[in-house]
Amino acid sequence: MNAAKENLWKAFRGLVVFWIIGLAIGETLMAWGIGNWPILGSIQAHITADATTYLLWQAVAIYVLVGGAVVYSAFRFRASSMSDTAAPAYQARTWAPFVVTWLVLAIGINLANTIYPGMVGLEQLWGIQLDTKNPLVIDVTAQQWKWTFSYPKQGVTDVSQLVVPEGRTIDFVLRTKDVMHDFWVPAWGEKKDVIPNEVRHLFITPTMLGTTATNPMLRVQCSLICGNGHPLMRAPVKVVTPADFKAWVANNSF
Amino acid sequence: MTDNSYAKLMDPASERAKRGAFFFLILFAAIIFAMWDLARFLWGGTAVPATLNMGVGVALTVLMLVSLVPVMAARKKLDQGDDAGIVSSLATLIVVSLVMAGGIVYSWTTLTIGSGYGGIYDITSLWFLVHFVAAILALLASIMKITRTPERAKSERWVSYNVLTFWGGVVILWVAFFIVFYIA
Amino acid sequence: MATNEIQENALNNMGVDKTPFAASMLFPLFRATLWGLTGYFAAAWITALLFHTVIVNPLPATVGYVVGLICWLMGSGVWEGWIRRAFGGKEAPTYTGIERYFRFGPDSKSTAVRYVVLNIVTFFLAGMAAMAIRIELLTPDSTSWWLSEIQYNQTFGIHGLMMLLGVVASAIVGGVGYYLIPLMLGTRNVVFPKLLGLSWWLLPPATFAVFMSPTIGGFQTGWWGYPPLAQNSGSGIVWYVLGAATILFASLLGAINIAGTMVYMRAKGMSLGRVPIFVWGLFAAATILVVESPATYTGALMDLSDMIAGSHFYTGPTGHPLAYLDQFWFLFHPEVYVFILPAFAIWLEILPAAAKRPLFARGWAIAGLVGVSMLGAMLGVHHYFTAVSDARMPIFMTITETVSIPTGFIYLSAIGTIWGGRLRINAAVLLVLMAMMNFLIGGLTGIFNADVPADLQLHNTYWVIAHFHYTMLGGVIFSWIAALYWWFPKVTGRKINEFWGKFHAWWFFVFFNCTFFPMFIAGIEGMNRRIAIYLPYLHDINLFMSISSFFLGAGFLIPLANLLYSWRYGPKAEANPWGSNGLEWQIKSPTPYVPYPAGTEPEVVGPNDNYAAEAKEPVIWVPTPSK
Repeated sequence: MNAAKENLWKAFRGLVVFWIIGLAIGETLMAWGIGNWPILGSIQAHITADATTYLLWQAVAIYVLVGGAVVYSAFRFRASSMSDTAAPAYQARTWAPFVVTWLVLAIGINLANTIYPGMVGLEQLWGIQLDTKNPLVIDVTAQQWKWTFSYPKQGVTDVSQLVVPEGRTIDFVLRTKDVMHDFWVPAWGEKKDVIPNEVRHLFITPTMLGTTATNPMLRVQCSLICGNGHPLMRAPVKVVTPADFKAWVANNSF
Repeated sequence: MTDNSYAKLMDPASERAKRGAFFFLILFAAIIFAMWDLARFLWGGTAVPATLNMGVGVALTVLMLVSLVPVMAARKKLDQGDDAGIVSSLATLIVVSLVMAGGIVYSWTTLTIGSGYGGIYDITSLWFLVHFVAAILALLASIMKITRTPERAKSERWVSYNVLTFWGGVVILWVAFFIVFYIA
Repeated sequence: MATNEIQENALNNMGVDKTPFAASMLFPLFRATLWGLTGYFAAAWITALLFHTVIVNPLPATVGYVVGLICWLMGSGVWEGWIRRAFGGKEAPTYTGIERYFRFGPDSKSTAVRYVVLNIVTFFLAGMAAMAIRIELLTPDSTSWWLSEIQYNQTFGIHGLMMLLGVVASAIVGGVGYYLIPLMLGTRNVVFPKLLGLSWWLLPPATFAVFMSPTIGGFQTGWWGYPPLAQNSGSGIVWYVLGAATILFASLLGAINIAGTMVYMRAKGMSLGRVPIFVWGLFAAATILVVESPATYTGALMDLSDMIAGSHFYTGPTGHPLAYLDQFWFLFHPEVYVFILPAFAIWLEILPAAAKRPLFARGWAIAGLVGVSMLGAMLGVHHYFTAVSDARMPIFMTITETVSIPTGFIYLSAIGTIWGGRLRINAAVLLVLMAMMNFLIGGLTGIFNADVPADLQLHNTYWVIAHFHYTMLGGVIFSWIAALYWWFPKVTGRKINEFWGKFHAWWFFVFFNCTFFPMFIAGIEGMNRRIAIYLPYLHDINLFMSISSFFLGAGFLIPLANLLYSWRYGPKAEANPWGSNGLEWQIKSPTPYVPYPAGTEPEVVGPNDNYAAEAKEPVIWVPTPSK
């Protein structure tokens, strides 16, 4: 029995080495992946991307710790063949330190995740919405299968291209004429469903100049299946400087 | 003598198991109605349309409550092992089912399905209609089994017990339906 | 072992029908098909005449489906096997030979085998739909030579619905569970054998209807069936609704049997603490179906009612389409636990026997299974965080993330079981280990969708596609094949080919990850789901996924060939080839029609996972007490 115990501790030391190597490789790959992250074109995109990348670091760590333990123990404690039917000496049904450690970590990570990035991210997103004094209101109308945009205060109505100024929070007022759609600009990091008989709001603060032509992540894309025109239910986006926006409004208003 | 036929060996559940496991089905059926009872206020608001005939609703509900009398009688006969004695009680329940079905179909003519209340009333009562049709078939099966093959009916009394349990469940669900759709 | 001697002696007197297979045994199948099609066309045509419409319209299609389904059931043997005798008519003969595989009957073993066959057929057809999807996505633009956008939408809808309800919903629960549950609990059959028999016969017409839905106009909503799109994108939605409801009802009939058998029919001495972990997994799944599926039926019926009866639950200016989402996801999130909990339980059933170790932290493992099923009831909202008000986000985020705690117990138990053991790795065990690694990725990436800020970006992108394929294909299907291999000797008396088993396990593992891992990246790069046409900057990654998926798809022919070949020509297996202490292995293999003879029954006298050298037999055979 004593010998069996010693072996298990030795095996555990091997697992720790395995973990360290795995974590080094995994997190290095993750650092490289996050270094190649697609563009983040709004304050909101930074908040949601922070949540995603944080969870990615954590997921890699958990994957190495749990998955590594599975792979390592399956390899380390394998029998020589199927006919090797001798039972091992170690027959314990449970081992409290392992179970307690597991429980504490599982509950701890869960609570932590609910607070960050969960609630912290939500509070940041809601905070922008609440703090905005004078948002640029844009009415968005979805229908099978096109988007139309109106700027009620600027007097611009029914344009098919979304032109917005950089650095100002926009209140997108979302309505649909027929079925459900989903308003999504991938570079802006958030999406919102558009529901029949309801009005929804999405607050976005663009921080990066660009057009759909320069970066395809900057496009309006319907993201909820809405029939056969769904994949092409896109609209071009143009993020311009406030001065250019003024000029555009002047040219397009009545 | 122990019955060692294939049919008996391969259906080993005791009467207690057959009657007990049946409640999983009753639970399932009850939750469906619970969903609709709750959804009634989303689609129908709190008002009850004037066209809905309150008298018919009250009459059907009273009929359902009174139908518990033959249910009790039939259960007692089953407990006593007097299978032949329950036929008239079961036949009464068939008549009740037919009246209930008629009442449900009549009430459809007093509502428009396109309205919020009409839609949710119609679909819930349609589901009751399905249960009454099932009840008619099950009651008929029990009656015919008892009259045609009394021996078999004796060894499979759990079927009749479950039919009565089912009926009791429908009565409770109907009363809830009446409260939610006619009064509340 | 004395055990099998008792069996052998008495079984020789059971006189089971040994007639070899003859084509005439297929008669009930042909009759069911003929009656079903006749019933469908007659009812649909009469309805169309009465309402002055054509038979592909929603109403005739609905009436035809219902009548056709009933006629199919009657033709399959429900009439003489059940209805006739229930009304006091002639007693049905008992089919004990090969014949019972081709007709309705109360035998849970032949029902389970039929489940396996149907699941394989459905998997093949729905897998072909997946191949069609990946061919379409080889190029970013609209491919005129392959599928139109409408056909593409119909294809992924059918693929999704059939893979979920036609395959993973019943693969482990039906094909493996219904076979093993009586044997593992120490009874000869389930509590309602005829209901269980009926459950399989509901599936073929439902599956057929969903696959045939393009013939009446198809449906473009994907497997969600969200209104109001459901009501204006093709009449095929009625077969989607009816097919899904029928399959769910079949699952419910199984669930009632699982729960009832577990509660009422355990062998003498089998306390709840000694119930095999696989049965706990099935029980946890069954409770979900009994308690949560009702909400989804109401949603399906109301969706259908809007389509055919003129109600406006979800459509028109007074409709509430969001209510459908609530009703739909109330079951369909927990439904994924119906798929995965039995898979978890398969791991924990196989690993102790393979490692010769007791199941580690058994109580926590059971708490994990039951805990997931209970928490799972409360969190469907995380499937539409982008549609709900802010107030609902924190609650459902928190509950959803909490599910990872009981899920973790499964890994805790599995790692603890392998640790310090002597794990004998055959093809089944290898697949279990791979399923654990795949599901781990699937589970960890689920946290991103539970976390609202991350989900607001990742929702409805390829990230989600990757996430649930890691759980469903990587977790459930891998475990399903592992279970088929592990219990293959129980059903056929033969072993599968280990080399090809391990070969395709590695083949799957490599190409599965090559196909689905890039989808996480595609999702982050802004590829939304359910699109036949995508932007050219996503071309390279899609090309890679498509080509990998063709290898993955082709690889599934290996286990199919392995199972078919081994069924006829595989090496003969002894009664208990893995040296398992499980009760199901203590009886003859292949399982006789009557698993153990009249007058005998098992009594459980110890835990079924004690593999210590000096351990006693967990089961003794005792004479049935006379009443």
